[in-house]
Order: sequence, then C-alpha cells, then structure tokens
Amino acid sequence: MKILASYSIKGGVGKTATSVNLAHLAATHGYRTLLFDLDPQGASSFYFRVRPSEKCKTKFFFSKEKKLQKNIKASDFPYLDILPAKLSFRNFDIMLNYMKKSTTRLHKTLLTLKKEYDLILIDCPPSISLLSENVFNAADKILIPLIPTTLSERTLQQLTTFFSTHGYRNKKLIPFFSMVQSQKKLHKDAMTRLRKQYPHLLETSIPFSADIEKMGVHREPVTAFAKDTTGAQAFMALWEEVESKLACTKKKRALSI
Amino acid sequence: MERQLLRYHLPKRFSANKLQQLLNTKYQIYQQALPSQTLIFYDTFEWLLWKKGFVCWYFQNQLSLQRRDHFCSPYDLYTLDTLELPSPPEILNIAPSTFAQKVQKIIKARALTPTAEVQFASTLLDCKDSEGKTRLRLQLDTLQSQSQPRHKVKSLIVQPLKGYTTDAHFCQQLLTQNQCEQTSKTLLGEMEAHGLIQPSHYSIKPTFNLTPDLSVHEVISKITSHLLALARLNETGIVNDIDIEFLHDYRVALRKIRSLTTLLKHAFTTEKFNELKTSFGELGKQTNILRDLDVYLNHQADFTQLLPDSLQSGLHILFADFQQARTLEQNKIKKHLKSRNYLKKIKQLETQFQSSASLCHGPLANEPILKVAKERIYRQYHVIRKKSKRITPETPDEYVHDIRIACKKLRYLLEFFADLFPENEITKLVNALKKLQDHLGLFNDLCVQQAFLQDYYHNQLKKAHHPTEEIYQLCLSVGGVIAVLYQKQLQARNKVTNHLSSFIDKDVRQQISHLFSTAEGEKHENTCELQH
Repeated sequence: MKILASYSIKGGVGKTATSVNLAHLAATHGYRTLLFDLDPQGASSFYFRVRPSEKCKTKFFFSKEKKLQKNIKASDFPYLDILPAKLSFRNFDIMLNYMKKSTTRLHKTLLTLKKEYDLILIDCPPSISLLSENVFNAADKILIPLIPTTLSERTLQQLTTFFSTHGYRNKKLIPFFSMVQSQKKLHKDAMTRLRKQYPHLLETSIPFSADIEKMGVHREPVTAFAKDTTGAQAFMALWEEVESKLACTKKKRALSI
Repeated sequence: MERQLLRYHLPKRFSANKLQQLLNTKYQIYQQALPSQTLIFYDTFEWLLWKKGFVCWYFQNQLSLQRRDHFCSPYDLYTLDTLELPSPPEILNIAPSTFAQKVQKIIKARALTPTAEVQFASTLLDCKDSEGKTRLRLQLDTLQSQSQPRHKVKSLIVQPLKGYTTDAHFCQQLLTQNQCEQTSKTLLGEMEAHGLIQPSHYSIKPTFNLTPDLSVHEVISKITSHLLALARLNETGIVNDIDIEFLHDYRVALRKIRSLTTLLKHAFTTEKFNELKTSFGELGKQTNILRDLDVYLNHQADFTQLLPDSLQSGLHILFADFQQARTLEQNKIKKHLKSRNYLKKIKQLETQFQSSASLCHGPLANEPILKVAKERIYRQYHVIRKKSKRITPETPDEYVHDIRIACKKLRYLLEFFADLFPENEITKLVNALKKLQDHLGLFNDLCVQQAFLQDYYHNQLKKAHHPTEEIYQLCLSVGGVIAVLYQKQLQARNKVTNHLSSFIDKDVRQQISHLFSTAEGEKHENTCELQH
C-alpha cells in the first residue's frame, strides 16, 4: 500500500481537484483506492456526494482502529472508497497535541488499512500544523500543486525549508504546476524560473480550466464526466507521472494458476 | 473493499419494472437495460477448466478466463485475463499470448470447444438518494438456452455498498416480503441446476464400482462395456481432429480392454481369447502411426532445444514432413472410423460384452473376482520382481521393455480392481509404480524415437537419387537428434535400474503380500522360484 498526499500551505491551489481526479484515475486503473478527505471543508466528499456518518466520532480516529473502517463509504466508482470529512476534523490538531507520538499517529492508523487498499490519497487542509506533520510522516509522496506566481513560489520555499530543518526528506515532495494560464506572461516567466530552481518539478501542468471548475456542478471528477477535455487529459498525464514515481502495486486479484 | 454479492431467486412473474416500483418509494432508480447477447462457454472435452475451478467464456467479441467461484457476470471487468476475438470459433486455437499460456497450463494438449450457449440479458438498477449518490446496486440477469428455451435462469444480485448497510437491509427485507428467496448458489451453480450448463464426468480413469461378490465374467462385462463406451465417445473428436488427446484416450481404452482380456484369459475359451486379442490388437494397430506423429509434433519445441541453431533448418524439414504425413494419416483414420467394417466390428464387440455369460466359458469365468484379483496382482508383482533381479548393465534394452510391459499390466490390474481394496493402500502402490513407469516410459520413448528416426533417415536416403542441400541438412539434423537421444537413453537406463530396485525392495514386497497374498499365489510364486 502506498500513501499519497495532496498538500499545500496555501489554499485554493487545486489540492482537492488533484485528489479527486487522481483517486478516480487510480481506481479506474485497478488500484483499490481510498480517498481520505482530511480537510474539514469536505470538498472532496462533496464531489463524490458522500456524507459522513452521523455516528462518526472524530475523537476515535487516532485511538480505535476499527472505528476508522466504519466511517469509510463506497463511491459510485468501482474500487474507490471515500473517508468523508467532518467539520469536527478541525479539532485534530488539538487532539494530537494531547497524544503521545503525536506526529506519527496518522501513519499508524492508516497502516491498519494496508490489506484493504493499494493506494490511500489524502486531501489535506491548507496549513502547516501538527496534522500536516502527521501527513509528512505518513505519505510516501506529497504532491504540491503550485500556481506559477510569486506567492506560491514563496510557500514552496517555506515548505522545503521546513522539511530540511525538521528532518523530513525533501525527496518526498513532488511539486507540479496547477491552474496554469499560459496566456499570462507572469505565469510563463514564473514557470521558466521555477523549473530551473526545482528540476524535479513534474512535466505535466494542470491548466486553469472551466471544465475542472464544473466539477462542482456535476459533483463528479472531470476525468469521469468530461474525460476528453484538456483538463481531464492533463490529470491523466499527471496520474501517469505520479504512478511511475509511486511504484504502487495492485493486489493480485488474479490468483496464480 | 472486496465485492460482497447477495443472490436471489425470483418468482416467475417478477420483472425489472416490478422491482423498480418497489424501490421507487425510497430511491430514485436509474435503470439500464443491457440487450440480450449470446454467451458461449468453452472447455475441453473432459471439462478440465471446470474441474480445476476455472471458467472460460466468449462474450461481446472477447474471450475471458475467471475462477469459477468468482464468476458473477460475463460483463465482469476484473477477470484473470481476456483476449479479443472477432468471432467465436468451433475449435479454439489461441495464438501465443499470456491468455494462451494460462489456459494451456491447465488444458495441456487439449483444445477448447463450445460447451454451452445461452442468451444473456441484464438490467442494472442504481438506487440513488436525493443527492444523486448511489446507495445500492442491483442487477437482474436472465439466461436462456438457445436450443431449449424452457431452460431459463432468472437471478437478482444485490450489491451492498460499503458504508450503506441500512440500504442493503431495507432491500433484503423488501425482497423477502415479495417471495424472493436468497440463495448461496453462484450463477454457474444456478445454470447447472437448470440444465443450462452440463459439465461432463468423462474420465479415462473411471471407477467401476466393483464388489467382492461379483464373478469374473460379470466384472469383465462391466469394465469392458464401460471402456468400450469411453473409446467410442472419442471417435467424433478424432474424426473432427479437435485435439490429439481424443486419439490417445481412444487407444488407452482399447489397450486396457486388451490387457484385461489377456490378464483374465482363462475366463474365455482359447479360441475366444485369441479372437478377442486379435480384434482389439488390430483396432489399436490402425492408429499407431497417427499417434507417433502426434507425439513428435506435440514435442517439436523439445526437439528444437536439442540442437544448435546451425542444425535447425534440417529439423524444420523433418517436422514439415511429419505434418504432411500426419494429414494423410488423419484422413485415413477418419475414413477407417466412419467405415462400415469398423462400425460393424465395434458394435459386434459391444453386444458381445454386454452379455458376458455367453462370452466367457473358460474355467475362471465363474470364480469370485476378489480371489482372482488378489492372485493376479500378487503374481504380476512377482513377475516384475524376478525380471528386475536379473538386470545387469549388460542386459539388452528389449529386456527392460519387457519389464515396462509387465509394470503396465500391474498398473492396470491395480486400477481395474481398486474398489476391492483399501483406497489408501492402493494409492500408495500406484504412486510408487507410477514413478517407476515414468522412467520406464521415458527410456522406451528414447529407444523407439531413435529407431524411428533411423528408419526415416534411411528411407530419405533411398528416396533421394541425387543428394540435395535439403537432404544434407535433414540428415545432419536427424543424426544430431539421434546422438542426443542416445545420451539421454543411457542416463534414463541408470534411473530405471535405481527405481526398479526400490520397487522390489522389502517395503513394497511386504505391502503386496499383506494386501494380495493367497495360498495359490504363494504356491505359484514358490514353484517359479524353484524353476529359476
């Protein structure tokens, strides 16, 4: 099982669109996938029309492993399950603060699902907190959507510095350009500059696209309702790049003969 | 996240619309009717895939392989493997692919042919809540036989979705209230119960259900009739040239009959015995050449590995020649099996063995089978033992072949009369004998192949008035193969000697004495000892 996070300190950069579409593509490619909506806004859950269970008690998340299973819900797509967000997820930081080994709790909890899933995708809230550190510890790779602007450039720098100073491996970070408007000179210049500065930036860029925005109307991944559009095609290319970096394996459903 | 499916039997007039009406009270139903299409199942003559727990089907221009327990619909996306095919063939010869590899591991030299053909129609029902989220999935399948429309299966699958168990419970309650019955059977199980798919119990190693009180002539009748029926079941497959195993099984069945009549020859008068022996011998002989060619062609890849690249061209010529000869021989056998003479002969034999009392007039005919079986097995083992003791490195190959024949007779005896003795003990003995027979068989094959190729080589030389490059290449390759076969034969002979000595050692001997020893058997044994 591999764990992939979609994370950024900054909000509104395309984390949820990335999580939702990559989770859908992974499932379509036969990986048993769980999308963990860790963002209290619950946008990922909304896109899949999944509501959290009313009985779901957030306080059990990091202490009682079986409770986690009960909150998982099937999406409308084969091989894709959702762990929907609740507004009470906003209290995770406070809860973790009172726990021992407070930066590795999430990893330990997710490992209990390794027989069930080939891939867990975490849609993270925008912040840098104790919960974020849990994500840094749990994830095999961390996708960083990056709008080619000065502010995004600054947050990426902040993140890499945080990683270096706190002993996390920078290799985990996979930045890629998101919400790119290629007609803007500012974006073009920033992209050229950043590619020089961060050679491991993914080749694929996700364009700023009306189709991706329409996900809110359709309440489905763009890769499901408009797979021939530029936006969907870009996510497909992104998935291919991410898949090769993750080296994720599918469970052998086909038993050997 | 494994799929959990609940299957329901439906009352006769229960339709998709009725189901929709029931569920409409709580959900928005999205119905998708998939049109009726032909679904063809493929398997070998003896249903090898089925017996090993697999199923292969052709649906919507695609051939699929799946585990039998996992088969829930021909639309299943998560099969073991699939292969695109434009149309469903009568005999499935799959081009080299991963699909072919997986299938051939199970079916070996057998071919796949259609075993069942049904019309498959399906209606999918997605039950959605007010936000458009699917909370439950249902699939209503109808399968109908094309040849017998009365044979019909109607089944409903309820697929509960993770996190929505209350919806699944609601549906289950609704179905129970409407006389729908949950079943633990799989779709294939339902099809089998309704006669839409009928797996064969064919086996070239059948059990004869013998009891100790039967007389020898009753046993002869039982076994021979069964084996003759088995041989005849293979005739169509040989005529249509479906795969080489039809001829193999046909020959095995006839050989077993011939062996049984020889082993119990005193149940017949001398004239009758000679007549039967000749009849079955001739029937077998007819197909010798075709079987030899089948074996060579089937092992072409093994022969190719024996020689370096420089000698491969000669092998190509050799196998092209074999293939041509096989076509001719196959036509000959096809004609033979369809001929009046053959049909008359085989029917005559069938009738004769049905009433064995009038067939068997020898002194052994009315003896109880248990006594005779014990005696024959005991004696046959000691024949092998004595012959084996005399083997030295100088003993000619022909003598080893005699031991092979003696072992084959013992194997047949153990298999024919297995019902009369404890199963475990017989299995142990058969396994020990099988190991020995494998080595004896290999040794024999290597000797026969060398002789066959040498004959072939001389004939080619005789035919060729002026040596050509082709003849030169051919002779070079045949010579090379013979040399390698000879080396292998020497190694095989050593192994034969080792296995023979362990088969005649104390353990097996004691087991034989314990199971089959009779006063008469031992007397015969002692007389033989004295004679030698």
